Amino acid sequence: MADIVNPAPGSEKLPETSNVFTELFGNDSAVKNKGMMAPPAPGISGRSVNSGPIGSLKPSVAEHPGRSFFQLSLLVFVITVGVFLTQNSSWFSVIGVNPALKVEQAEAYVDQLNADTRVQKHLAATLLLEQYSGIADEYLYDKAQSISAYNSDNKKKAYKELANGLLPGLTENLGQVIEYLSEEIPNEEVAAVKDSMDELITNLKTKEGQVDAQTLLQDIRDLETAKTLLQSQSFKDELKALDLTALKDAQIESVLNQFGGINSSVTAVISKIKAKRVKWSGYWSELEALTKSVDPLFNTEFSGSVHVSDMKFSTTGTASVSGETSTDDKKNFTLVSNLIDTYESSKWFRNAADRSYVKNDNSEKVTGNFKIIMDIELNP
Amino acid sequence: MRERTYTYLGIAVVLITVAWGIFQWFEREGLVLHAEELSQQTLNLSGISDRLTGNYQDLKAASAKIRESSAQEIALVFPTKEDLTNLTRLFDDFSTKNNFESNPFFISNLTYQTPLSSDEGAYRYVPVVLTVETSRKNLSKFLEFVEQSGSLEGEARLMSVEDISIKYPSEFGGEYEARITLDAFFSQEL
Repeated sequence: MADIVNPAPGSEKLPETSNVFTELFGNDSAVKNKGMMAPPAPGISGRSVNSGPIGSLKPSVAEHPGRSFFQLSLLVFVITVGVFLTQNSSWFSVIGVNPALKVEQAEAYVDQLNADTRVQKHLAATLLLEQYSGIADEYLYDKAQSISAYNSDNKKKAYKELANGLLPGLTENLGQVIEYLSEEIPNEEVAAVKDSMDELITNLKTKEGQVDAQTLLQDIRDLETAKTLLQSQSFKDELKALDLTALKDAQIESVLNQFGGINSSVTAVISKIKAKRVKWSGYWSELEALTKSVDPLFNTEFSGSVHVSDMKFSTTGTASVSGETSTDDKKNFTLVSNLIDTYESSKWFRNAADRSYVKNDNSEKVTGNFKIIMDIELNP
Repeated sequence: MRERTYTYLGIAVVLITVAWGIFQWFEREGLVLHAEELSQQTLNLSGISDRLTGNYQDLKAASAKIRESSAQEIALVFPTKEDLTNLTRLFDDFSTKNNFESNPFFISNLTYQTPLSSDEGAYRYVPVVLTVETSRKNLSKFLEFVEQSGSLEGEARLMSVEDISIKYPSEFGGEYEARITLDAFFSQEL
C-alpha cells in the first residue's frame, strides 16, 4: 500500500511545493492528485501565503498601532460625548429623566409656584384693602363730624372717640397689606404673575351657570383688582413708605382714594365720586375772608366800602363776585383793583380780572359796580 | 511618520476626552445639586402657597360677611335706580330740621332733570336744581351736608354740588337766596 513515505508507483510527480497541509500531512499524492493539497492560488494581495513559516500571518493592528490607537481614542471620545449628552442635555433624555431635564422641569415648577404665591398675596392684599376702605370711610366721616361747626360739643366728642376707636384697626389692616406687598417682584417676572391671573379669570368665566352668579362676579372683580394692584408700583411704594405709628388723616384719605381708583367694586365707585367732589363751602369762606381783608367792614352790620350782591361758583372752574363799591375818596377803581390783587394772591384762585369799570358820583359817596371773574384752583 | 502622527492625534483626543469628561462630570454633579436645591425650594413654596390659600379663604369669608352687611347701607347712599321719592324726602327732612324763623332754610323750588350716565358708564346721576332762602349759617351747613354725603355711616344719598349762585341780602343778617345745582348719584344699569 502506498503510504505517505513511499508514493504509489506510477503516480506522477507533481512539482515540489509546500503548504500547510504538506507540512502537516506530508506529500500524499492521492490527495494531491485530487487537488486538495494543491497550493491555493495567490491571494488578492498578490502575495502568497506560502511567503513564510506559520508566524507569518501578521494582524494589521500590529502593523499600524498608531492608527489603531487614534481610531480607538476617537471611539472612546464619541462614547464619552454620548454618555454625557444623555445626562447633561434635557432634550436627550433617553432612559427616564436625566439631571438636566429634572432641573429644567423643577425650574419651571418653581417659577409657576412663585407666580401662584404672588397671585395669592395680591388677592389677599386686595381683600384687606377693601376692608380698609370701609373702616377708613367711617373714620373720615367721624373725624369730619368731630370738627363740624354744626355739631354740639358732646356730639363732636362722641364722634372723636368713635374715630379714635377705629384707628388701631386701620393701622393693623395696613400693616398686613404692607406685609403681603413687601416683595419686590422683578419686572421680567411680573408678566408671569399677570398670565397666571388671566388664566384664573378665564377659568372662572367658564364656570358661569355652575356657581352663584354674584359670587363668581365678585371673584372675577377681585382678580381684576389684584391684577391692577400688581401693576400699581407707585401705590405700593406709597403704602410701604407709610409710618404706621404716626398715620395722618391725609394719608388715610390718600390710600382710600388711590385704592378706589384701581378697585372695581361698588364701594370703589363711591370713593371715586367722593374724591372728585369740590368742597364749595371752603371756597366761599375763603372768598369772603379775602374780601374782608380788603374791607374789614364787609358783611357786618356797619356800612363798608364793598357790598357783594352775589357770588357764583361752578365746576367748570370759574368763580365770580359781583357787587358795588362805595367810597368817600372816589378811589372806587383802586378798591376793585385791590380786591383783584387780593383774590389773585390766594392759592385757591387765579387769573382774577374785571374788564369793565363804572363809577357814579352821587351827592354823598361815589359808587361803582364791579364784577370780578376768576379761575378756581380745584386742588389748592 | 504617519504612524507617529496618528499616535500624537490619538493622545490629543484622549487628553481632550479626559478633560471634557471631567468638565461634564462636574457639570452633571452641579445639575444634580441644583435639582436637589430646587426640590427643597419647591417644598418651601408649596408650604407657603398652602398657608396663603388658607389666609385667603379666611379673608374671603370675612369680606363676604362685610359686603353682605354693608349692602343695605350701600343701597341707601348709592341705589340701583333714581329713587327720587327718597331723595325728595331727604331734602325736605333737612329743610324741616333746620328751618327756624331766626335761622331759616326754606326750599322754594326743587327740580329734577333727566338722568345721565358717566363717561365710562360706571355710574349714573340725576341733576337737581334747588332754590333756597336761607341764613348764611344754614347755607353753609347744607353745603357741608352734601359734601359729606355718601358715607355708609351717615346713610345720606351720595351727592355733589356742581354749581352754586349765592345772592346776598341787601342788609346784614337778612336772608340769602341760593340756586344750587347738584348731582345725586346712583349705580350703573345692572
